[in-house]
Amino acid sequence: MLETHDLTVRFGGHTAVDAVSCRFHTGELTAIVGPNGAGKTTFFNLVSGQVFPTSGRVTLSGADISRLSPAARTRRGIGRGFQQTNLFPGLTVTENVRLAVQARQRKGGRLLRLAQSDKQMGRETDALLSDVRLERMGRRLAAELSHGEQRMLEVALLMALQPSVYMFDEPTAGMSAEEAPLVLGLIDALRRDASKSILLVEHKLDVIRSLADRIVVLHNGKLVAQGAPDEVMGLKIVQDAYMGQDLVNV
Amino acid sequence: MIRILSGDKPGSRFLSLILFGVLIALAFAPFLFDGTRALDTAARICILIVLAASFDLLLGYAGIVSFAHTMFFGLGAYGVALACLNLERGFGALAVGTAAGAGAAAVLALVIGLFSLRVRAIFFAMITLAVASAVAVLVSQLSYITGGEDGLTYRIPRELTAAVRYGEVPEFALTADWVLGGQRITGKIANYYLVFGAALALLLLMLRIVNSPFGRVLQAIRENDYRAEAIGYSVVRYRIAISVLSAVIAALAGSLFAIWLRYVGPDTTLSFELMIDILLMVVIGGMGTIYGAVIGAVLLVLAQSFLRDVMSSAAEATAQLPVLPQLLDPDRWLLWLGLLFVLSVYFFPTGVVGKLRQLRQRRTQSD
Repeated sequence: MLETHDLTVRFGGHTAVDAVSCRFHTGELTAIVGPNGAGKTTFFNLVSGQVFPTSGRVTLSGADISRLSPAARTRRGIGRGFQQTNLFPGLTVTENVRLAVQARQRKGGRLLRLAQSDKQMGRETDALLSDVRLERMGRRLAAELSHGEQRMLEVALLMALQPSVYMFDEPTAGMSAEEAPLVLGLIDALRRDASKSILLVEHKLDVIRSLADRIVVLHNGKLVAQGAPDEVMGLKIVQDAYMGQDLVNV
Repeated sequence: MIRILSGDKPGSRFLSLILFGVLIALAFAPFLFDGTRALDTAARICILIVLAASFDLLLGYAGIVSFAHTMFFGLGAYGVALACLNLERGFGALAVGTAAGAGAAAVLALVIGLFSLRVRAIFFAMITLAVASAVAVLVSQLSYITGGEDGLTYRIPRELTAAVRYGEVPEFALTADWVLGGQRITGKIANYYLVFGAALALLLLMLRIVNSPFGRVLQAIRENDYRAEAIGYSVVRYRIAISVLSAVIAALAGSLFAIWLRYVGPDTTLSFELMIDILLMVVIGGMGTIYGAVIGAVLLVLAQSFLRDVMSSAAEATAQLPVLPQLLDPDRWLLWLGLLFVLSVYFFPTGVVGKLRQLRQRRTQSD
């Protein structure tokens, strides 16, 4: 189980995340919502290690991981997807995914083997590309893909890591109407795995309603509400301040 | 053949032809070209290919800018020189010197990496520049060990010198005037083949490294270190590992240089000019390709060795014309060399190898 304990980070005089304590259980998908600037991505950065907390702790299965590097946290089982497409643009689509598979299998230190010689890794890479319907794009450079395709590749990279905690940061942003359901289907399949926790930052309330088991609401870096979707969305404070008109429209 | 190249095809037919030509020319240099100058040029090319390719591991594959590469080259060279001076003459001294130089380079690269590869690229470059300058000054000052500015001359195993004669190459007449072979096979030629064989083995090793899982991680770090870290690769560890590897290979190249030249001095192994030459070789040949180092080293060494001669002939040929003979005066060879480099970087920003691969790709796409 992933937990944050009074997690706080300050940038100069600004407190971006303010004493947030949460539990993310396995077998559960938690949506993290809030208006722009609420601190959702900073909270993600704190959990995945891109930013170190000013105070407070992050624990995974009881172990304090607050001071571990992002790479060390990934090796412990925290997989992070990014809001902005964050790939290896000069490498091929296959190489992008293969690098993530290789990282999970901890084979990056092999010096004298050929990168392509591991057939099992090749098959797994192909399967992942097929899952996100990029199987025909394998030889193209990541930079040559459309924005939607790059987002799909981003998801494939995260899936390749097979973490125990998946962190999706607006995974369907910029995707076409055909691509988004595919990714949501993949997330839904992961949700059914009782050994995984999923954290999802998402603005689309229909997506949250269909996928989330629990919702955490952040505003100005503070945790203002958490609980079951119906319960949280029904709260007046959430309707007034955080969902605004969107909630009415859904 | 592709297996030997670790599956890394040159990526252009023309490039393959050039590389094959270079390989043949270097493999048979003692028998194809007359005179010690030609053999010396061929040996220099072999050594500089290794040195430039090891720098490409850093710059082209890992995106690390270092100015300390010649320092590691120098460590390898001084290792052999000091071992030859202080140990009994023989191959044992060469082996000890080579191992000591490579070991010292590994330790120094590890220390520099541990202290400075966490900082930004530009600061790392500055730190390496400072360390390299300090070592160059140290070598000049510690003259009782290093020979100071005069450098060191020493004896290598007799089997690798011209004093030993192994036999003669049988003559083979292609035409009445064109006869191949007939050369004496001396220890100098054995020395050349030691340099050539070691350089070829190191080049193939580097090709294997860049096409290994480790090499892919380096490319990922160059492309996006933030993401590489996020998928579980400890960027600092990989950067340190490649710095150490690259330093060891540069030191081995330095050892070969010392074995070939039988002299080491700060000017030939530690100078900033040599560092600039390596940088030019990698940039002109094409960064992140290894083959670029081959092309860059051949072009630069040939230009440095023969541009004067070419200009001298051109000046004579244009003696009747105004201005041109003065412009082509052999004393102005550095001006022309500089101009050639500026033009090549301007027209081939991805290097010769990059340009040839682009042309090939464009042709494939249009087909």
